[in-house]
Amino acid sequence: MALLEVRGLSVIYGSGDSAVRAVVDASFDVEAGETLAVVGESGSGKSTLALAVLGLVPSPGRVEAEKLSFSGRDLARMPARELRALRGAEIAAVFQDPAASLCPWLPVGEQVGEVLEVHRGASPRAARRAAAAALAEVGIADPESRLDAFPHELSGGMRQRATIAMALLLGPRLLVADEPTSALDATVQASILELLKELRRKHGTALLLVTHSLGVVAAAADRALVMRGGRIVEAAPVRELFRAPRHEYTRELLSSAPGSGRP
Amino acid sequence: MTSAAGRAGVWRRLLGDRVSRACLAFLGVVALASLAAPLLPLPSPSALRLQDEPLPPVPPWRELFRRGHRADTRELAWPDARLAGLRERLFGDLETAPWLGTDSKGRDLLARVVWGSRTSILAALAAGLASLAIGVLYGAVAGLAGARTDNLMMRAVDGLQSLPFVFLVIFLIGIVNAHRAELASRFGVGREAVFFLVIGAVSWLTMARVVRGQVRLLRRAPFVEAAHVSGASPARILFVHVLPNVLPVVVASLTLTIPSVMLTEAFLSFLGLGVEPPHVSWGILAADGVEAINPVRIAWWLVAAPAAGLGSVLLALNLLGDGLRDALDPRTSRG
Repeated sequence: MALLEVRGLSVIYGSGDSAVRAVVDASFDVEAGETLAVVGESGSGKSTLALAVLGLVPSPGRVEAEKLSFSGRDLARMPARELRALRGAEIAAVFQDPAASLCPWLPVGEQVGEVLEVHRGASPRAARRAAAAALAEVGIADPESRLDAFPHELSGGMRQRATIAMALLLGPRLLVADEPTSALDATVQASILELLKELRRKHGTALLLVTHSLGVVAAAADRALVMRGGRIVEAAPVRELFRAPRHEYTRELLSSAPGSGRP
Repeated sequence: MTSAAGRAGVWRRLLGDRVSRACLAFLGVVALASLAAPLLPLPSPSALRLQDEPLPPVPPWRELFRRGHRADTRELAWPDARLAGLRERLFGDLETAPWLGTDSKGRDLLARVVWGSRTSILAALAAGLASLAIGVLYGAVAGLAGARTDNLMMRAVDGLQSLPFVFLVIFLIGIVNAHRAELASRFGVGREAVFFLVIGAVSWLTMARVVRGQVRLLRRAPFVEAAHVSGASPARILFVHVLPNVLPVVVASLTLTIPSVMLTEAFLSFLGLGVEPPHVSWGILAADGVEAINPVRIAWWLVAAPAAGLGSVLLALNLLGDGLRDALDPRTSRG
C-alpha cells in the first residue's frame, strides 16, 4: 500500500456550466520515502493539486475524489479533529515564499517549536530546546541566538531553512513542498535542495515536490508527474522522463528548458 | 503564546520613545487625579456660592491654599465616601485657591474639571473595552469564518451602524427618564448606566469592521495556512497567528475611537442628554462656560479649562497610540 493514494481527484471552482476544473481526474501514488515531483507550467494545476492533498483549497473551490488516502486513512472524510492531529505530525508542508509563511510577529524559535506544543503538549521551554536542535539540523549556524530573531531579521535562505525545520520537527512521513526554491536565488536553491535530500535520507520522509523547474526535478526527484491544463499527461521515473519522454507536451517542456537541450 | 520577551520588547520600545513616555506619564497623572478626586484638597465641585460673580483664576504662586472648606453636598458612593473621610482628616478645612477661577455659581473650576474627567474616562473605558472585547473578537470571527457566517455577521453590523446614534440616545434617555424610579428600584439602573451602555454598544461596530477586513487579508496568508497544515486548532490560529497581526490596526483604530467617544460624551452632555447635575463632565462644563460668556464680561476661563482638559488628553492619547503602533511592530529598529 502506498503512503499517499490519490484516485480520480478533481478540484472544481464554480458550478454548472461556469464550473472550472483546475485539476481533472488526477490519480497517483506517493510511496513511502520517495520523492515525487509534480512539474508543469504556471496554471497547470500543480499547486492546486498540492493544496488539495493538504486540504487547503480556498473556499469556493471543491475537491472531489474517488480516493484520497494517507497510509490507508481517508483524508477526504476525516473529522477535523483527527485531521488536525495528522497535519504537522505526519503530513507537513513547505511553501514557496518563506517570508510570507512565517508569522511576522513571532520570534522564529516560537514558530518552529509551536508544532511541538500543539501536538505533544510540550512546555514552551522544551519546545524551545527542540526548536534550537531543529534549526541546527537544517544548517542554521548559532541556532540559540536565532531563536529570538524575528523572521524579517533572517535571510531568505535562512527563512526557508526555518520553515523546513518547522515542517520536519515531528518527523512527518510526507512533506508537501510547493515550489520551495522558486523564491530563492540559484546558489541558495541548490543548498536547499541538498538539504531536503539529506533530510529525506535521514528520516525517510516522502516528498511531494511541486515545481516548474526541470532542473529541480532532475536534481531531487525519483519520479515525476507532468501536468498540463489540470491533467496529468505523463508519469514516469525521472531518468526515463528525461531520456524518453512519451508525451508530446513533455518533449516540448524539456526542449524549452534552458540548457537542457538534448545532446 | 506571544512571548514574554516579545512583550518586554514592546514596553522597552514604547518607553524608549520620549513622546510616548511623556504621554504615558501625563495620562497616568490624569487617571490618578480623577480616581483620587475625593482625596485631593480641592474645593467642593458642587457647593454653591450664589452671591459671587465668576472669579478669574488666581495663580497658585499668588495664593496656594485657603481655609473654609465646606464638605460635599452630594451623596458619595462607597469608595469615594471613604476617600472623602480621609481627606477630612488629612487636610481639614484646607482647600486650594481657585487656581482656574470659579464659575457663575461660585463653584471651583479646577475641582469641577478634575471631577468631570471621571465621566470622560468612564466613557472612554466603556468604548475601549467594548471595542476590544466585542469588536475585535466579532470582527476576527467573521473574517475567519468567511462565506455565509461572515456575510450574516457583517450585515448585522451594517444594520446597527445605520441607526442614527444621536436619535437612539435621545430615544433611550427619553424612555429612561420616563421610567426612572422604576428602573432604579427594580434593576438598579440609572440614567448614567444606560448612557455608558449605549456608548459601548455603538463604539465596537467600527472596530469589528476594521478587524474583519484585516483578518480577511490575513486568512489566506501563507503563514496562516502553514499553521493550518501544522495542525493548529482554529482558536490557536485566531489567537496566536491572526490577532497579534491585527494588533497595530486595533491600536490605531482605538486611538481614533476613544477621542471620538470622549467628544461624543461631551457633545451629548452639552445637549443635556448625557450625565446630569450634580454630576460633572467636560461637556457640561463647556456648555456652562458658553452660557456664561457675554460681551460685558468675558469669563474665558470657563470655556478654556474644560477645553484644555479635553484637548490635552485627546492629544496625549493620539500621540501614545502612534508610539504604541511603532512599538508593536518588530520590524521597526530594535533597541
